[in-house]
Amino acid sequence: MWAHVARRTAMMVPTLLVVSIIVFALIRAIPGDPAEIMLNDLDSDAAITAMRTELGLDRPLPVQYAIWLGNVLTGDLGTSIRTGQPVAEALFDRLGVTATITALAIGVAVLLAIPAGLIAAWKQDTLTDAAIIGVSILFLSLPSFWLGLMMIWLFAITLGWLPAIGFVSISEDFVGGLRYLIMPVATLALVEMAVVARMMRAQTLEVLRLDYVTHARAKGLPETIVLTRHVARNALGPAVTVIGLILGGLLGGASVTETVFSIPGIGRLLVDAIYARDYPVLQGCLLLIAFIYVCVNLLVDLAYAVLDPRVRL
Amino acid sequence: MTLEAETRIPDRRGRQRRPWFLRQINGTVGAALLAIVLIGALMGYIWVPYDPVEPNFLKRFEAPSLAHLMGTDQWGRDVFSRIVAGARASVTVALATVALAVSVGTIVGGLSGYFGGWADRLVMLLTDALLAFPGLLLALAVMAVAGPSQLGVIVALGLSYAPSVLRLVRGTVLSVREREFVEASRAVGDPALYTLFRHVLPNCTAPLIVMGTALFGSALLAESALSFLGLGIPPPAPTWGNMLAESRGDFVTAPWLAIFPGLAISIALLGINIFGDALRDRLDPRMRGLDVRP
Repeated sequence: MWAHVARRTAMMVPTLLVVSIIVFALIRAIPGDPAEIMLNDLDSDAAITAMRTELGLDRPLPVQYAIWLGNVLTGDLGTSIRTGQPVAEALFDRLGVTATITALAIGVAVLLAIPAGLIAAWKQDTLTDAAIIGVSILFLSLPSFWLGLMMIWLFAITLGWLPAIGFVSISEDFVGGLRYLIMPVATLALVEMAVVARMMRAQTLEVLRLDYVTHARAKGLPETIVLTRHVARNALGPAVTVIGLILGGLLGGASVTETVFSIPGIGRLLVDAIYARDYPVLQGCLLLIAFIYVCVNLLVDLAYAVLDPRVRL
Repeated sequence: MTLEAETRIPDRRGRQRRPWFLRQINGTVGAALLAIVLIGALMGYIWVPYDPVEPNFLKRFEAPSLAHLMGTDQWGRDVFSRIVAGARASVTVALATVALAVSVGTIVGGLSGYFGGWADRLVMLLTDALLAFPGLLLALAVMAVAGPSQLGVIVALGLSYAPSVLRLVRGTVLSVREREFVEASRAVGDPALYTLFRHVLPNCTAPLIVMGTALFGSALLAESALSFLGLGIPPPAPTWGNMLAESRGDFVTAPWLAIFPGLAISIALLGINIFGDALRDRLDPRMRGLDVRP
């Protein structure tokens, strides 16, 4: 088992190195001289040249990359051009918000979708199944940003039940914070739920026709025990792997939801950095999100190996 | 067509027991919804009722009526005309994206998988790294470099989806490479490239069609999302995404500005999802779990 963990972890290193090269190359490909962006247009050529030297922009690209990577690995991601705040600090501030919403959305989605998928498969080809598939495919087809806008329109503007946009930390004001969280979490959970439910249904269908299920039924076990102990347990493994996928969707789509609800998370930070050409912040966001995504996928792989020992072979 | 009955994948799920409306609904409804979107896109190239770009300040914020089926926006432009013109932009971008991703993925993945060696290892390293950027992230980064434009969106999304296609093609090539008919082609002295394109790659067709359909939906949704963020196709050219973005300031008083573009995206995606499911069951039942994602 530990050899498996070590091997899988070691495989991450080259991937992350290439990720860092891609981010470095992309940022350097942005038109415009970083030194000129950081200074005003009115500054003299001499000041710009001095700035270029200070930033190391007069060195060859591989050298620049090596210096940059060294800084990144020691936690120095530079400072924001727009606010002057250290990038690592800005990322840390914003990550909590995105993490809260993402974790809640995954939790809600999984809690609702796993039973839904299980029941749909168990009741295959009945009205219940049709209803669950139908609702899933409907939610899968709603763009999250539109669903969000429609929720704001219905629950915040027409009914006035919830605050329309913004964010209050739940550590400061628990009830108030929750009220701000309901709509963003619901928006994300509804879409992700559909993905998990479909996966769970497909997996359950596979397991239901296996011989040990017939055997369990034949020896007279109640159907609930057969479903929970024999079917669900074995169908869960592959369904767990989609959580990695879901997290990718949520992190990669965080910019969109956070824009709809004006939430100060990492996705909004990324989009604002693009608008403002704040490239240290942009590269920090890219590196952090890719890093989290790679790590979570590793954890999911390892969890899968724990759930299903055959994978380790 | 006579071959179809024999080559069909045996259906172990007992499709016959399904209620009639489910049997009927799958392919047909999906295809019908998709047809509406494609006809809309074609119409966008040929004719729209009003100019979708030119402002008309005498007609700002008119509610939906017979003259303006979906009302007018803050510049007095007909929303229906903009939806139809937006269909043209969305469908064009999505098709071009899929074409780019599939051709790059197939050629690179095919060559890489067939010939192997250090080049293959390098390609896979790059692919894994590109796949480490989830969802819209890579596209957002490329748009930051390229600046908002239609071509930029196509390149950004094509680049985001090519690694998935590449992996699929490479995997299929690796499993087909050792089969007897490929060996036979090599044995009679066919050039390697001829064997690859004539005998190996055609085996990827079915999974590629399934994946291409899913990617078409993803690309449509991703283009809307990028345009919604102001990083896709820039206004005044209408797209469903930038119409939604522009509606944000006024949708309290003029909800139709937000409702119709979102409905358009949803109908298109619903059509692709339903049609894609039916296609997948027919062509490649192993590819479950490939959902349309932003």
